[in-house]
Amino acid sequence: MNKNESQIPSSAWVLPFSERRRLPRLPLESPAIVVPIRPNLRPDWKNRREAHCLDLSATGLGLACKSNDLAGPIVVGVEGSRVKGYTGLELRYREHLPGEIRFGGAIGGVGEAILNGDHLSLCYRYGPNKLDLVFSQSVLDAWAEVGVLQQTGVDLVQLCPRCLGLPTFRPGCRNCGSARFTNDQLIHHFACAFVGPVQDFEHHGELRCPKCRTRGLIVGRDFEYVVGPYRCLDCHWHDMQLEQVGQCLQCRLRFPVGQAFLKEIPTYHVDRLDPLVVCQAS
Amino acid sequence: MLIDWTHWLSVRHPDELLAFLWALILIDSTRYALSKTVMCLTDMAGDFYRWIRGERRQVEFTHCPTVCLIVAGYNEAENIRFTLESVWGSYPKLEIIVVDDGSQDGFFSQALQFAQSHPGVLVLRMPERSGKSPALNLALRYSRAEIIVAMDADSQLSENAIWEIVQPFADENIGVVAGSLSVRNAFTNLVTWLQAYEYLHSIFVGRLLSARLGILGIASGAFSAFRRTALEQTVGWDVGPGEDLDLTLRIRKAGYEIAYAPYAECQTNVPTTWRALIKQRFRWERSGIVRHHFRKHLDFADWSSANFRFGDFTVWFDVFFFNFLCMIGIVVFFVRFFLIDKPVDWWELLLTLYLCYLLFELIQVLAACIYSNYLRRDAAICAIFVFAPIYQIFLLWIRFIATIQEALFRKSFEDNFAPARVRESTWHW
Repeated sequence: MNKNESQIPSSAWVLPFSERRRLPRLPLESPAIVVPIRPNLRPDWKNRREAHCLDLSATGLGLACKSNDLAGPIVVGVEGSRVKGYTGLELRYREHLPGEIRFGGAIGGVGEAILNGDHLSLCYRYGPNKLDLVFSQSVLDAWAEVGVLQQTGVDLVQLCPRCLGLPTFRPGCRNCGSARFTNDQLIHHFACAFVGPVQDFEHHGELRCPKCRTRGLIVGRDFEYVVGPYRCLDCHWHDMQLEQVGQCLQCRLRFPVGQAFLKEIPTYHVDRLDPLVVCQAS
Repeated sequence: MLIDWTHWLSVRHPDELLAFLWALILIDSTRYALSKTVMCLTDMAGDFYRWIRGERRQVEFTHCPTVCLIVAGYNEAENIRFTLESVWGSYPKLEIIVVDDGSQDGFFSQALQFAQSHPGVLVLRMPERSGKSPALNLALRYSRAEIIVAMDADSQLSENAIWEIVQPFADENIGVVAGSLSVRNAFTNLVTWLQAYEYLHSIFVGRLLSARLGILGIASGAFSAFRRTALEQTVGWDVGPGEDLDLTLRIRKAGYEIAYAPYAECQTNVPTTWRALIKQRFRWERSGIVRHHFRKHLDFADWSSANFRFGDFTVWFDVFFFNFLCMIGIVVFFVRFFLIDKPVDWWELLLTLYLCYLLFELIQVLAACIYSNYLRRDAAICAIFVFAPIYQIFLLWIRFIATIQEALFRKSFEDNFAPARVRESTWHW
């Protein structure tokens, strides 16, 4: 390994664009497929073109094909012995030569946004407070249908049943969802089977059973402590166990966790063309 | 043998037979067989009169107070779901509180699982086994209803049982309503069949008669309903066993009346072996007569007490006379018969006694069938009535021994119905 190679990072995407431009251009002879992107971001599979790569740099790709009337952003899939994967391209030039049309452009644009790994799985959108995909699922499914993307799994998220906003979950009252609750501390007096709150037993500095009036009670011998159920301070509901309650951060709705809207969000994978790795290998 | 007996009988003078059978005819039959016959005939006459007038007896539920059903249990994980399913949704204003008395078999999680999918069910838990009474008292603290219904975790209620049991509370004087108990595993074997018959004629019809006479002194812990104010006045259940009898007597003492709802039926499992039956009956009998009637609640018979009520005294006297004195009388009779008199014609005498007893038993069978809502089932249960006299004698000896044990050694306080720390702390009446 020479000194220059050791300084080259493993991926071109971490380099600034100006530095990427200075990296050498690599001649290629690999078949490629060019898929135009429709305005609704879906692939225009019918108008795809067979092409072959001419060269590859860290910033762009040069291609040639028999005919080309493409104008907008495209996704290019390259499959060769050294290069394999998809990348988004913004067309910058077109050159008509005898027998072929050469064209090329910079890696980036809408195509790259669609193929960006961060946009192919669940992500949090701060503004609307949503947990969702960046592009709609139908768009990504359309790309998966033509084989550019592969669906790799499904994430399940619990959302607010009213506004599909992101909730927070915490233990709360099963009746009203309040987080304000307390436990009763009770005493079970063995002799008379009375069970009542500690306060009822406290009498002039000692414990006295309110039922049978026995005085000077000793824990363990005469009575035991019993932890009563949780008591909601808002609605006075009693329960031995609290329920997981969701509260929407957007619309403030409280709901039991069982009523949360379950949304299945698929995750996708794309084999991306990383030009720097290709250049490095050459 | 029967021919010999008929010859023997034909040469007896009626006076001789009466001298032998007077107690059975005058006491036992009057209290049980004849009184039930009178009750049946009265009701039938009433029905006939209504029929003549073209009126039809209609079952109408007009009283609908709020009800809290308390189900306390220990290691009843297998049964609790069926129990709760039998009651949930059977009454409009029903809250259910399940109390786990420190079970180790998943009772709590089973109940909790049910509560999570059925609104209006609260599950409570004692930290460790403490007995039935504290569990019920814990639930009472968290109930808000006017009527508290207590039932066992291994029992199931029949249709409309809660509707039936709350109807008598329309009368403000009623403090407790006893439900009827029937045997779910009646035909498992001879032991359960005999118990089913016993429940049918001593609880289903027997308590109906006692309630009519105003001398009903017990509401079974397996299924009974209490007015909340009566429970608050008596501050809930005391330490068991026999806590159901004790509470009923205390509520009576507080001035309330006890009613009976014969068609509020609770089906329960009974012991399936003689050994388990004997153990159960020893527990019941030890905590019955001596512990509660003769010791704790002896003031029922205290004429000089300011709280003395003649109605309460009749409850006490019924137990004293028929359950205690008659028991002693029968034991003395048998001892004298077999050890002192040793009559030559002993088997003819016993056969006569048996047949006479059977005749009175038959009257009770007819009474049970007349009142029954499930005639085919109850008629099948009554088919065992020929063994009833022998079974009654068997129970009588258990009662006798248990009474002696309790009177001399306070054996009921050694019963593991309540855990040791509770038994040792409570007052040994």
